[in-house]
Amino acid sequence: MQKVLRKSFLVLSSMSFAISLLIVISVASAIGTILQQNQTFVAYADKFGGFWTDFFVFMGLTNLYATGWFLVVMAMLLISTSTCLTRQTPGMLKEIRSWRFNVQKASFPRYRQHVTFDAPKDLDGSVALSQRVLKTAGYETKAEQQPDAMLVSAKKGRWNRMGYIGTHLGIVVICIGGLMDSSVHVSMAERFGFVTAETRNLRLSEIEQESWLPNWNPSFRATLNLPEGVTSNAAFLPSGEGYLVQPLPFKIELIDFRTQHYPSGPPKSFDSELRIIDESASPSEFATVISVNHPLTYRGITVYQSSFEDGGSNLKIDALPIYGGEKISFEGEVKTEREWVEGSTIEFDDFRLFNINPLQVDEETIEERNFGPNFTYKIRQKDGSAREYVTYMQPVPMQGIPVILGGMRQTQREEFSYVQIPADRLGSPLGFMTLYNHLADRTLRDQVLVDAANAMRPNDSDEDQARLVASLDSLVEQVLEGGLARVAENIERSVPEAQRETMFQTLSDLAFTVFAQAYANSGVMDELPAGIDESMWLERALFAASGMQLYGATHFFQLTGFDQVQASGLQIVRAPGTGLVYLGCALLTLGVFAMFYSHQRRIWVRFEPQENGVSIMAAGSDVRRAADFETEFQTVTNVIRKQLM
Amino acid sequence: MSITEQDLLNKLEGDSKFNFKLVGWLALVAIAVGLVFWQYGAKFDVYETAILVGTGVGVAWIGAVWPAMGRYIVAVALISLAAINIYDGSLANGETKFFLKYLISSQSAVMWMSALFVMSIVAYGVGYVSSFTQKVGSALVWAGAGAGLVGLMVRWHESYLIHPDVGYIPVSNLYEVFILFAVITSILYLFYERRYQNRNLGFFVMLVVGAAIGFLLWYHFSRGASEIRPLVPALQSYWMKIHVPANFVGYGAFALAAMVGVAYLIFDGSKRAIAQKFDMQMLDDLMYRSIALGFAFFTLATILGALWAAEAWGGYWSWDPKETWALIVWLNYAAWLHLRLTKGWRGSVMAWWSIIGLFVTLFAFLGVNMFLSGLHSYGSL
Repeated sequence: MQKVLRKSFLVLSSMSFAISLLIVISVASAIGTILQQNQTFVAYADKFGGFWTDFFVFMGLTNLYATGWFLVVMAMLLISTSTCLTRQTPGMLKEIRSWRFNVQKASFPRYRQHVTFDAPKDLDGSVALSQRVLKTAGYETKAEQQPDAMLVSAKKGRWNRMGYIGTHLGIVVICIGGLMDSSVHVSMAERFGFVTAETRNLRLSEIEQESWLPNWNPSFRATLNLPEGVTSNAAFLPSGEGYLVQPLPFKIELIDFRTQHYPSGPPKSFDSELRIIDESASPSEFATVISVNHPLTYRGITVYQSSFEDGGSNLKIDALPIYGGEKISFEGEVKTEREWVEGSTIEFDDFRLFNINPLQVDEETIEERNFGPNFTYKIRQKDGSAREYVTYMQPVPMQGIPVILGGMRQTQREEFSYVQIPADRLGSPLGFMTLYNHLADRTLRDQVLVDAANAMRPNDSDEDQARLVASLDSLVEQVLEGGLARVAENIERSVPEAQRETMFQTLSDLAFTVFAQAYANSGVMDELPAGIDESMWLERALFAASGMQLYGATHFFQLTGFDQVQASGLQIVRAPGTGLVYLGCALLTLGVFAMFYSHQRRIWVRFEPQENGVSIMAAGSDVRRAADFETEFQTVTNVIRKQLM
Repeated sequence: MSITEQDLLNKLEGDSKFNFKLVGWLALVAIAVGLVFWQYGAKFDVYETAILVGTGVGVAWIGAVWPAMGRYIVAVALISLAAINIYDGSLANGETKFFLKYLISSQSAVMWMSALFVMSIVAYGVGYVSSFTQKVGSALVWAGAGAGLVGLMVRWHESYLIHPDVGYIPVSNLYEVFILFAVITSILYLFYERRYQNRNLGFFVMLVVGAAIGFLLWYHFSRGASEIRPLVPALQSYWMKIHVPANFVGYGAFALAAMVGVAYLIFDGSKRAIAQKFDMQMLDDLMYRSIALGFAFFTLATILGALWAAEAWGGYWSWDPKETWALIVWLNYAAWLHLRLTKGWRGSVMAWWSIIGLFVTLFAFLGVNMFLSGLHSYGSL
């Protein structure tokens, strides 16, 4: 039994074992960075398919750094380092203290560095002088009387071995500190059923007792999204698909959340003004400001500024009908939903006051600009399918024409595709909507087409005019479906290549004429912003019209007003191991430098009295066999020789 | 560095000769630190004051053990001050004043650095047949590194000229750290060149610096990366001033070791005439020293990074891809050092390993930002 223990101790503390562990940890950690961690099951299945997803989950690769086998390997490294340390330290300490006077005369020539010479000096004088030289060169020395000679032993570089101990002890201390601050105990408590994660979105008071962690939980890293004006004394720990609740020994209120911007637009600072309310202290409350890189530490708990989001802003919205009808005005609050037409619902997801985006200012320059407020919402149909929209409140100048940006996407994975609606005099899309409606609505479109045909060919027969109207109608249909791109596609399919270009030119001119007619009929003319080029505005309108069907909504939601409420994302941490980790870091750093830059070296000088002087032998050793020890040994022995001559 | 016989003899004689040079140098550094504090101290917090004092101690030490570097630092400081003086508080002067526009505005200085470094590769290459050209190579590296340092110093000032709120130390984005990398790697090389009295490795080391310059130029000309942009809130911290430079001493030393490894593999056992210029034991020794230096600073840098993370993100370790790759780099060189120091491994295996180590480092430095997402995303291309 003892033999087995001894053997396993030797294996655990062996270098090969330690190196294997380093390699295993490196490779495993690398896998953990390549495979995105802690995504949902669906996200993995989407990317890798069912088989690999099952495999990844089985191997724990989707949450690698907290998975059992990885922690075991880390623990092995800790054990390996500790056993190595316990095995080596006593010997090293002894080695540092020892003067090693047991060097025999016969062994001097066997050292890599050695030298022999005679000097015409007396014994005591030579010993004293040599010791002085060695001390000057940075060695500690001690002389010992031996039966037939005096032996001076010199050593330096004790910090080298201390460095070894420091680095390895440092790593052990860091691991222990890290373990103290890890969430292993929470996962254990969950596995053994002491706590159960809550997956539903509930109010704090509704959350079952089984999802609450105790007050005395020694370490946690929790998050809290706190809207302005709200007070909370609990934070949340994410756990699988759900969360656990961590009560706090004090209450936190978010008084105000502030974002500052650089003159050129990008964010400069995120500040949360907090009030800490602690009944057990006096005074029982105080206000403070935290920001990124400037957390607050109170009663062993540190509160960090980590993110921000909307905390339930109130939005005033005009729903402008795209296909005719009355506009509908209503209000909504972010993170709530309301009923909408035909059994669908609107989910108000987000509101953002500042949106810094690149903007093409002229042909050469792209500048970062603030596009102003926008809001994000989903229209969810009865069958559960949804489209997500993002709409900007104010027009943005695009090649001289102010446009209102409305983005739409059908799944979270897509980018938003935008319609750019040219704004009218009031900065509203209403003018464009009226124009669009003159083309989208059957009756109004017929009137536009007849008027256009009349204007183009006033002298044609009714029959010819009817034919022209029919072809214009088909053209408008194509443009509304997919813009001039669609027209070009159709030409490609039905027209020989030689005529395509002229054909396209003719058709786009025609489309433009019809738009001009619709523009005239709809009376938008009076509504255009001052100083705007009409034909350029119209070109934009044509472009926007071609995207409206894809936009897939009955109404365009225009934001007319808002009352912003922000929420600050706080990270709330209790990490009692931090001090230990920092101590370990200090040991490690000092140890590494000591180990590399303090050289453990020894020199022995043996003085044997002769008839008229002394016979001297010197030898030196350097644990690392560093190349420059040879030079140092020669320098020192040469100086000794010269001094003694 | 081992003590010389003369030094030892002098010391033995209780040489109490007043060392004017050393005392003068220390006084100069102390005065410079005092002036900086007098000028800016009111705006410093306690950490920044500590960093200033620490920088002073570091510069004093470097100048004491490497007097040429001390003089060099003074020259860089004077040229940078001249540039600041010509700017005279207005960024527009960068386009109109001759010296700024063609020599020492930060962008011009960086371009000079690039040109000088590339020329040094050629000089070192020709130097294998003419030792005079090798000396020219060294001079070009000194000048190039100086231009790079001036470029960084002046850029620091320029960022404050854009707007006092915008100003930051220019080691904060990929463009700036590439300059830092080129400068640090070449200065480390110059240190070893002096120490070993051997210029034959210049060609190899400057090749990797040249690659960095290639990237830098591409990044500038095709992405406009040299534009000074304000920092996101997460990066506004005094930690930046120590975390990043420490890291790049590490990266630079690892790069140097890898290029020594390349030279080792090419010339080990070779019978060609040029191989006689390389002493394999010296290459092996240099490779060890460089990796040891890099490892020590990389350890420090990673720990500083963890301290910063604790302050900014609320945890000293969160297995973020950048952190994880830093750990992988660290473990890799830890294994290298263990095998060399305790098992006595030498030679071509270790040379191959130090080259592979550079690729691992390169991935941690660039690849993570390019291919993996995470908290360090501001370093992306």
